Amino acid sequence: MNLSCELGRQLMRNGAEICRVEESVERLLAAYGCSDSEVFAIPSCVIINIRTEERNYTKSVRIRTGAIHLDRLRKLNALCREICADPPAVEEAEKRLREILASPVYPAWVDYLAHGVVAFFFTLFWGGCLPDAVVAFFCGLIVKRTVGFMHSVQANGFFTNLVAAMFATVLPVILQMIGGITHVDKIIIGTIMLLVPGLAITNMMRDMLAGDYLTAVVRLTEVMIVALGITIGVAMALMAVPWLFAVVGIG
Amino acid sequence: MKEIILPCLYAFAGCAAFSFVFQLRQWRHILCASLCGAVGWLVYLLLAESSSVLRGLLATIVVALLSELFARIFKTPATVFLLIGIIPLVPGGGIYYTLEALIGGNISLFVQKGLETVAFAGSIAVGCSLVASVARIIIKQKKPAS
Repeated sequence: MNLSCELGRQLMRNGAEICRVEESVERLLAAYGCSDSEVFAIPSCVIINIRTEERNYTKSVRIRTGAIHLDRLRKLNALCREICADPPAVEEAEKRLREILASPVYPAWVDYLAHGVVAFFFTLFWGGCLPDAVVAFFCGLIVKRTVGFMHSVQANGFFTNLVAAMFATVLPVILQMIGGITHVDKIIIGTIMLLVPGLAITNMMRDMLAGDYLTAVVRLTEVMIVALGITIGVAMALMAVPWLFAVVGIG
Repeated sequence: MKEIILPCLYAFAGCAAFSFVFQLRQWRHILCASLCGAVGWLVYLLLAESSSVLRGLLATIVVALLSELFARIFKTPATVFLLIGIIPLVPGGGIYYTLEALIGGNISLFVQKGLETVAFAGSIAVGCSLVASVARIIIKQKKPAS
């Protein structure tokens, strides 16, 4: 039961849909002989109830969001399939689960580089020229640094995105005021692609279709809040920088 | 021709970089996920004469179909590919120009861009939903047989 709870939690955390989590946990329990079980999952919580002849056993886990790790999601899914096909001893399964959770993440520099490269190519993609893309690369690094910092001080999602979007916008706008580059809009669009909550949107749709409306609403709210944060952040930078320039210019 | 090939290449490269952000580790997964993104944008560009909502819808359907297909091949959740594949279609530009119009005080442009963006996002949503529902039905049908 602890095993299935942890699996459910990790699935959810690494970006699975609700119905996948519920189904996986239920099957896992069935594989170990608990056929009479109820699983209820929402993005922040998984509740599992097992009925035996006399008693009910319930366990719930609170889920906190973390960095999405698609490879872990894939491995967890595979592990779940294997266990269901041929259940090993519980200790063995737990060991394998721990192994997956201990699987490596990319080193920080790859992560930074990836953020930069995403911004670089999406700026080109939206029609920017090469110098724009180079600026965007650095904006991507700024986004990564800011988001990392905001996580370390445990700021909420709204504020994190607001600040990240704002810092990312400041650099291109300053360069434009100085007169280096032309396509500020393309750079900003390319960079905020990093912040747009693609996972939440995708999973929202899948949850809604699966009939998990509660989850869909929760995720929709998340999308709205994040989008609002990005928008306000960009708007603040777009307005504040020219104003600062005006003040400095007069002073 | 160049106008079509280059953006698709950019989309491919951008998606590949995104795979690293989301910690996708195996090369074949990264390649396939990026391919989803590039093909989606190719479809979008090839349908240049249709309305943007229709283009978004069809492009998303293609991306979603591809990701369901890859999901079957690699036995992974379709989310892995879908998530990365639809990123080029996310209306980042729409959001930005909406905002720009708002700051500029151009309310009619703001409303126009805003509605366009929402409609486009809606078309992506509908596209994903359609394919996911159909895939679900097909899988459910297959299961009792096997």
